[in-house]
Amino acid sequence: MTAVVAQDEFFAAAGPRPRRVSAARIGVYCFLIGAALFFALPLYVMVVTSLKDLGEIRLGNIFNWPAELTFEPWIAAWSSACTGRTCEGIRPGFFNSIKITVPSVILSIIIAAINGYALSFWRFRGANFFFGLLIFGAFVPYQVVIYPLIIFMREVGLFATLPGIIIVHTIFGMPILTLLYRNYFSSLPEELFKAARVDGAGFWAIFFRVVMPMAVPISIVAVILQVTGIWNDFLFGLVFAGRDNMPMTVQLNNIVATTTGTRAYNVNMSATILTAAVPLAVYFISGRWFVRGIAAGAVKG
Amino acid sequence: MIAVGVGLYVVGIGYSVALSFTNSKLLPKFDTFVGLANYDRLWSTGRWLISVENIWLFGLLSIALNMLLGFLLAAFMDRRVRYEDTFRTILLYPYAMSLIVTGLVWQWMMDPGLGIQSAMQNWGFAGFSFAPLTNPDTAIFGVVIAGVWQGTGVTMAILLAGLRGIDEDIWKAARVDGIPTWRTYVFIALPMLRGALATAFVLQAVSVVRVYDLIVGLTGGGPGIATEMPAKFVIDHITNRVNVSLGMAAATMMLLPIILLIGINLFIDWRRKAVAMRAAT
Amino acid sequence: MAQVKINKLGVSFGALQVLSDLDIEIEGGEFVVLLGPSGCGKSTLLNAIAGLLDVSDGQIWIDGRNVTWEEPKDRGIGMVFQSYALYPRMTVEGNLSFGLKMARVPKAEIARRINAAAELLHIDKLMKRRPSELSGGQRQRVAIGRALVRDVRVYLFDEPLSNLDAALRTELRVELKRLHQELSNSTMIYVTHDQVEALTLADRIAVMHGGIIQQFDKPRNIYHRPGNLFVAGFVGSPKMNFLDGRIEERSGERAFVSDEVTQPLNGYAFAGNVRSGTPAKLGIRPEHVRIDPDQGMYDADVELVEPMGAETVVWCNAVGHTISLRLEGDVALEGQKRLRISFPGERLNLFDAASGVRL
Ligand SMILES: Nc1ncnc2c1ncn2[C@@H]1O[C@H](COP(=O)(O)OP(=O)(O)O)[C@@H](O)[C@H]1O
Ligand SMILES: [Mg+2]
Repeated sequence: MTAVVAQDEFFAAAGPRPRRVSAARIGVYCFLIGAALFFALPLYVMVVTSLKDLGEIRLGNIFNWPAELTFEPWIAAWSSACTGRTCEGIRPGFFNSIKITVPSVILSIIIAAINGYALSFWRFRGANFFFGLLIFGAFVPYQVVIYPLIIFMREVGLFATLPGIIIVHTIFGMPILTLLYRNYFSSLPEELFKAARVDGAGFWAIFFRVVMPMAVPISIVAVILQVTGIWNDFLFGLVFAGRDNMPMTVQLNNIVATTTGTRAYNVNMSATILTAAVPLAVYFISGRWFVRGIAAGAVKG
Repeated sequence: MIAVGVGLYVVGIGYSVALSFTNSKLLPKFDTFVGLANYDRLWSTGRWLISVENIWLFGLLSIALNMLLGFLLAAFMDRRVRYEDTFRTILLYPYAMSLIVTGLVWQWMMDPGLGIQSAMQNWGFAGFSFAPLTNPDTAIFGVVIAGVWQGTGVTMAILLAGLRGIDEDIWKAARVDGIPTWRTYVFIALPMLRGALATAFVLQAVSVVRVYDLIVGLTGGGPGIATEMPAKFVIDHITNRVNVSLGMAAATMMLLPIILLIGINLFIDWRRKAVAMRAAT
Repeated sequence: MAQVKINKLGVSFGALQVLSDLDIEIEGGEFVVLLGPSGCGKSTLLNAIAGLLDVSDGQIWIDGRNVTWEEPKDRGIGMVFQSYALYPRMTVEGNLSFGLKMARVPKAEIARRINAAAELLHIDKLMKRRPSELSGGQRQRVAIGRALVRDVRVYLFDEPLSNLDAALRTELRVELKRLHQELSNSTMIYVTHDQVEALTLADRIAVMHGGIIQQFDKPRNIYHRPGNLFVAGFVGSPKMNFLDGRIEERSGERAFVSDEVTQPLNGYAFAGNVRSGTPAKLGIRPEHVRIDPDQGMYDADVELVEPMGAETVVWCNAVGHTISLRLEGDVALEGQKRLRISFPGERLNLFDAASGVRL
């Protein structure tokens, strides 16, 4: 009897379960790889197209690796592609975008941080009402406020100027950023503010000494959100920036839309990649922070 | 400062709405009020009607596809796959790019002569046809594809974060109960993701209402006016077509879905609080 | 009666080997508590029994079946979690019935089992509510109910009471005990870090530390005859008092000797032979230190008195150590700065200083 049991035990299951690759597992990977291909394909096409010469492009093999690598399109896109009026490539747009993005990001974040802090520091009556309006502001279609803003900018003489477009970006970034900071600051323990007050710190002292040092993570998120958002903006740049300050996206659209002579698809794709390069770099560098930015930008109320 | 900022929004919106009741053409004029005449005209303008139809079609299709694909991807990513970071990076990068860029790339991919269609035909699939943008009846589906491509990664990321937030013990309990994995996702996890789903939905809905750059980059509203959208209608009317009051009437109409959305949100909030109150007593 | 038998079990997370070569044999119908500090591997062991994680070594037998490679649902177990792990968007009824529906149990049978469990746990009035509309105690009852309806022989509990407040914890503890008596042929394995729970609930306690079962024995033995230093120190509050010294044999009489004490050991039941001169630790529980004004052996200077109602704990400075005494609740010590105390030989615990094993 005991011998039988011992034998049974000897042959029975022991140790780790033998790994079998299940059909479900293969399905999961197939689906993910298929999806990854669908998502990666356009980037691949952009890159290979930008490295081909026009003759090869006309063969219509969009997926093929370039038979002969050429960097001419990149150079053309950067410095000599035509936008109907001028033939300076996308370079001016690049520098315009920098001139627009940097001050807009800094300005909007500073103001939003103070706003958010004020909203959570003074829980005044009506703060909830303001909060509701902010959410509303974050969701309102731009089209509803864009015209009055044009009129206003014209009145104060800032329409089609660099300061004008910077102010516009700051205004439109305000609701979402204020919400971001308000939510973050309200999640800090209230005791922190109380303790600082007991220590005799005032509104600004608390802001600079206590709150801002703790707001570094959320500020990184805000920077990512704003840099990509403003760089990628098309509408405001088109409407408010004026001819001399056209951001890269507008310039890109102009280059592509210009149909004098043959369409230089390779140059267009090079210009497209160049335009996407900055936000893509931000994305690849920031990694998980980017995801956090999206989640934060999606406003949880 | 906040008060000023918020005030600006409110004044701006009020101004726009007020303009929609005037007959302003090139410049805002408040001397002649025409009541709802602009709205009458708007709703008998073919271009606007097509825009409205388009945004419904585009919105319903792209959001449905986006949420479905986003949830599937999130659920699969949640299955402890290898190279999760790589997958996530690939699925999400389109969201980092401008919608203008998205539009231009897909325009190129869907080019009838040189895009995917011709590549496939050159590879021997002679009957392969994929050039939705050339046909007014299918162009909107081309827009949907580009929109889904751009926005699905975000939905996936939001839902994945939601899935990761679910208590580990729930999964264990479901395994002990013998509930198949896919059923656990559908019947247990999905209902728990309401918050994340709402977030993703709102994000998509807002970007649908705002859709402008994508159209400009991808189709320019064409062929003809087959892919016009309300947002583009408004901008065109205040920039090129010098009919501000009609544009503002359209803008006011665009405000409605957002108000509706916020209304629903407030209602859900209110109900949740009511339930919480009931539980507390 | 479902016996649970673990053979040479090993579990590791990547490079971290949490359990290795672990053996334990649990009788059918027994209530066994796994007790140990947090992080010692209790949950890991329980999850391995449940089949919720892959083992790297060894075997698990339940009810005479080798279930090492089986899915949790096929092992004949039910499990209750610390965080309740109720399905939040389902009613109580849904929570109880979902697993059964998946297993295609007939409707009438499902209803019967749910009614039985609901009655046993007094949750029949809550059937239509969602978990969010329940109190903590009610949630845990539902979670227990969900395990009960599976109609199995082995129930696993992972710190089921830790999220409850003190009063509820006591209440549910009593109920669990009652439950085990009513389901007399079901085996229960219960994880906790709370020694009171362990001592009150268990037929046998397995004290764990560092992934190793230190002692597996009846509660009274765990408390009164701890098998090693860890068990002695972990169980009991205030902790057992320890003195360092050595065992010496003088004219046939053995004694525990240190700089401050010479403690005769008559009355102490040695577990085996002990060489004279063996370095040792002497342990005595606070309630076993005797105040003895006439025959006490050591002076104790009172430092602190903590009246706790039912008992009073006195902290003294004696024999070069801080020694705690547990006395009656109404003991009056006012003014007494110095006590005479003694350590009764039959109440002592001696451990090998090097290995920690009971002598
Ligand atoms: N999934 C896991 N991955 C890595 N380490 C783990 C995991 N689960 C538990 N551990 C480690 O195993 C040890 C034992 O954990 P656990 O069994 O949960 O302890 P207990 O339940 O006794 O508090 C701990 O050191 C813990 O950090
Ligand atoms: Mg544990």
